[in-house]
Amino acid sequence: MSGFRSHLGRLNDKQISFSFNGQSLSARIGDTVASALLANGIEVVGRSFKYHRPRGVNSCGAEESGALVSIGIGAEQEPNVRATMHLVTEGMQVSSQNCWPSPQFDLLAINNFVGSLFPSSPLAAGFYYKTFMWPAKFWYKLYEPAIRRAAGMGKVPDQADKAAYDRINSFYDIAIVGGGAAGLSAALSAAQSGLRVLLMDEHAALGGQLLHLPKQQQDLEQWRQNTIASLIAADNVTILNNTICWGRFDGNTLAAHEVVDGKVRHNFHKIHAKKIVIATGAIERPLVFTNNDKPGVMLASGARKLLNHYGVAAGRQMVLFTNNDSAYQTAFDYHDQGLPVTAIIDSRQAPSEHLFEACQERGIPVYQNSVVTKAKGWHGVRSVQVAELKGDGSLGASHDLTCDLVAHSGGWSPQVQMASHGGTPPVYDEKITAFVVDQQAIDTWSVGAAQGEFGLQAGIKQAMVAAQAACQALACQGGEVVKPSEDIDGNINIEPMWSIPAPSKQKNKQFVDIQHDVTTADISLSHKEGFISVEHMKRYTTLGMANDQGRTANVNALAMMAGHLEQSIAATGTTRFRPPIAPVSLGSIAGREVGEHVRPLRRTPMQEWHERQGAVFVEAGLFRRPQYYPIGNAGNETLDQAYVREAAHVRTKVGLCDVSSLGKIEIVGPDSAVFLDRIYVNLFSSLPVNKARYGIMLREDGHIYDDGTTSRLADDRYFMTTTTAKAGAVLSHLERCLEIDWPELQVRVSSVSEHWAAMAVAGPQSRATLQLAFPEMDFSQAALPFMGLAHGEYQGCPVRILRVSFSGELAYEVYVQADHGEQVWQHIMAMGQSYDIIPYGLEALGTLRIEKGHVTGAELDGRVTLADVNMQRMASKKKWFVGQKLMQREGLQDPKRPCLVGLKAVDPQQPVPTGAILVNENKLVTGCDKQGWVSSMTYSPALNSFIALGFLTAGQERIGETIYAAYPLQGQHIPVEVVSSHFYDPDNIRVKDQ
Amino acid sequence: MLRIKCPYCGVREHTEFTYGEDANRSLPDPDASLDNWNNYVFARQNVAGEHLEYWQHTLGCRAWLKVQRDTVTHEITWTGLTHETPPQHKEAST
Repeated sequence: MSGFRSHLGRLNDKQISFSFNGQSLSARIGDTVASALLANGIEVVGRSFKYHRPRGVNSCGAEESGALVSIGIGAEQEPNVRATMHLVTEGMQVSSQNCWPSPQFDLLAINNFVGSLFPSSPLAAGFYYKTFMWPAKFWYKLYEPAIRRAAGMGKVPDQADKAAYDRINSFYDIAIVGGGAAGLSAALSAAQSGLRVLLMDEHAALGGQLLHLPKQQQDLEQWRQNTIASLIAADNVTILNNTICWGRFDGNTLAAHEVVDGKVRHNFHKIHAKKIVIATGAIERPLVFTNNDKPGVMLASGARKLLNHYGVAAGRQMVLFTNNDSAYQTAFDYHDQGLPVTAIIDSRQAPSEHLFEACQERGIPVYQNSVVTKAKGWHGVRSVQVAELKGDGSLGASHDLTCDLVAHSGGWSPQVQMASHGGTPPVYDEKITAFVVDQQAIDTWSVGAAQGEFGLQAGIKQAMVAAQAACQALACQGGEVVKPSEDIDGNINIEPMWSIPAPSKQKNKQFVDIQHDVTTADISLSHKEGFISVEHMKRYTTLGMANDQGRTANVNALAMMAGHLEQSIAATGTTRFRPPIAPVSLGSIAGREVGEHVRPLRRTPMQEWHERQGAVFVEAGLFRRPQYYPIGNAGNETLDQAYVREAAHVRTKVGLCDVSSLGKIEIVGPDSAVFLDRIYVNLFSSLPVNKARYGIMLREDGHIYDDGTTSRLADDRYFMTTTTAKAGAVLSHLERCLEIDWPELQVRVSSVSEHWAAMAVAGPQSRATLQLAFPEMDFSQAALPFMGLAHGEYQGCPVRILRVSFSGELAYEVYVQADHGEQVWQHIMAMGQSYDIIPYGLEALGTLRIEKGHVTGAELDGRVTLADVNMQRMASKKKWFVGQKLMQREGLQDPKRPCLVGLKAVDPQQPVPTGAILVNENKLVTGCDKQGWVSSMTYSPALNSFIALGFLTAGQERIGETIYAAYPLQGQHIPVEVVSSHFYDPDNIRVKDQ
Repeated sequence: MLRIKCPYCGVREHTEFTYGEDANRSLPDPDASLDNWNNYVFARQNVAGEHLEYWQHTLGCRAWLKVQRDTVTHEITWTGLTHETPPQHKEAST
């Protein structure tokens, strides 16, 4: 037991209860998990990531690297929450991480000792690259599961997250990041301009480091409260607390993560601000000594805020260890609250005179030129070893001091991440021994401690001037901010103390990055192994890559690296800061777009009919198209049975297929024919009205872009269909050509995909069916020959019927206004009943087209040319078209290019997997030459055999050969015969001449 | 997270737009040499700085637009119709 509630601080006395590892505890409203645990005397909160060392609260903010907990259980569980950043709510269930069976007694703590048994610790930097290399087959079965169990950062919940998350887009004139003294001042000044102002702070209470001060420091407390009250009263100011701004992006966009913990767990704010003021403050840096990770070792600022804001004494007896003036106030505040301070250990020659006097007044001994070399104790600190620091940097005589709290301060690091996002590199400032961003980004002002200005009044002034400049840039006037009468001196008289000699030759761990268990030894090791760039050192040691993002570790590590490299810190530089600077839940980025809302669902006009019919659906882009219609109860007929039945039925009788997902584009204007002649490789200007033609369009680089049937409705009007997948892209392509390449053409294109329901009626009985369905129309060979277009109506609704065939049977496509799609579909189904009509799905559609050798997206994959699919003769020689020139490139003319062939399994019952590689050898041998690949496969009821389409090197010359389809993933090597891709009715007799 | 001003619709989020292509090229004559066509399709200046490009307002009015964007800062300094040119644009055409 160490910490306890000493007074109320700024919280009120309303009690709430929560639990920690099942134990019921009490807290006050406004407590964070960290302050509540300390108030209850909880010292060990969890265990560390790698060594399973006991860890406790070691700060009071976003820099927390010790107390990571899980909040909630089951589906509600949220792992890796920094205890210092999360407010306790009534009934909250908090649990420890990385320990079993309990944080007090953790079996994996053996890892901590393993290190000392070997000359080079197996868990040192890069251990996972070196240690588990051999034998390779042990990795998946043995090493990896064991490492996963042992390491990690808490546990991922094993149930789907039921919490709701929201995404919020907002627009402000001025956004201010950080609600400390500087941020409050900027907001107050900007508020008076009348502009829309946003103020964000990561904590629940505004005030930043003003909250570290005792409430009794009335002048500053009053200033803080008055400023907040003015901002709340201002209608043009929005305040978001519990909101961490985690990234600054192009176009003055900020991303922020708000912890709500109500009906919604987190909000993701995407903020567009015309001007940005960055007032993210500074955080205290630790001093690096042996066992500096023990519970009870805490940043001085953290200990101070705990006492003054939350009323929680972080320990019963303090030793303060510092290299600067700022930390002294922590000792004074504890002392003035009646809490004993054993001593102040100052690594400098002497503190400032007035501090020395203040210590004497209070009777606190000051050990000058001294350092804490080691924290001692089993779980938490019980004493420290203090040694004199000699002129040559070595240690003199040492002795122990009793304490359970080591408050320490190695200076302050401005939080430069936000200022640095977008590529502005921070530079080292000798005066404050930290990095600052000296170049302001466009529309952005960085102020106060974030900019290295630690003085209170100076920071307020800087913020006010920035806010006024931001207002002025928006043609408004920012107001004055009345400063408090008290000041806090910004000069902390720091003398850097980057590393403290180890007290003995024993291997003692000095932690640089506590959360990732990175020690000074790891940094030395990475140097010895040749990692001389900071970016490499970071990745090798994983320093700064935990969810505190190296807030406390970076500068110390860089300084140590600089020491090893015998160069200045400025020359060593720092790693690049990238968003996010704090943990962001993926749920908040997804927002409400989860589950079925991940993507919109496109429905065809006949969708509900398919659903009623019990169709099994398959995703096709944003559509869910019927894959097949099983007969009988669900599960009675398999996919394989159904598609073969449906395809065979279409060949003998008649079937109806929903093809509404095809892209449909209407092309209108006097130059439509000229336009289409340039777009398609074949001629469309010669197409008579009420006729259709199959067309292929190329990309500029000469490869096939898309195909489809286009019919001519009138001299100046065409109706184009595209593939389902390319519908949007083809429309953009047409619009591009018209606006950029040929603005002189009088043509308009519009998508009519949603306007028309489309259904294919295919099979020998399709004519009879349609004749019955549309008795006023003439479907005879003479009236409506192959590739003809006829117009009719159904109950007053216009219908277009095209005689085209994808199946290879006598077939028609019926187009009708979308609103009437289901009605006409049902009508055709009813009329077709006497001819035994069935609906057929995408799978049977595929079978029919493969039997026929028609290509789809599986063949036209963006890499093939006209010649590759044996359609070079389609290219018109009478005109120019997109892709014409580059189609003639040498490489694309190579006769050895793989081209489309049919493949027939030598054993008819042997499937030929799509994606299989075609080879000449009868077994898979190293170095065998890839001859091509299989692009589509089906069982063909017409041929009673598995058949496939594929691309084969010089394939047209190899008809009749037997080659092999190799599928090593399943150990398959299947003999196939190379045949024509037109398996079924190669002369098109069934399609045309009836 | 850029904001793009469509001359027809006003300032909109960039997610409504689709990047098209470099706007510093013009379609060669159909009879131009293979080399010319090759350059047209494949060669780009790849400028670091102010750059003219075509974007389409795909989820808006569907107009193709000309956009002047700094490829280093991503700042958009001008938008117009495809036949327009921004004042004082210095980029060399290919």
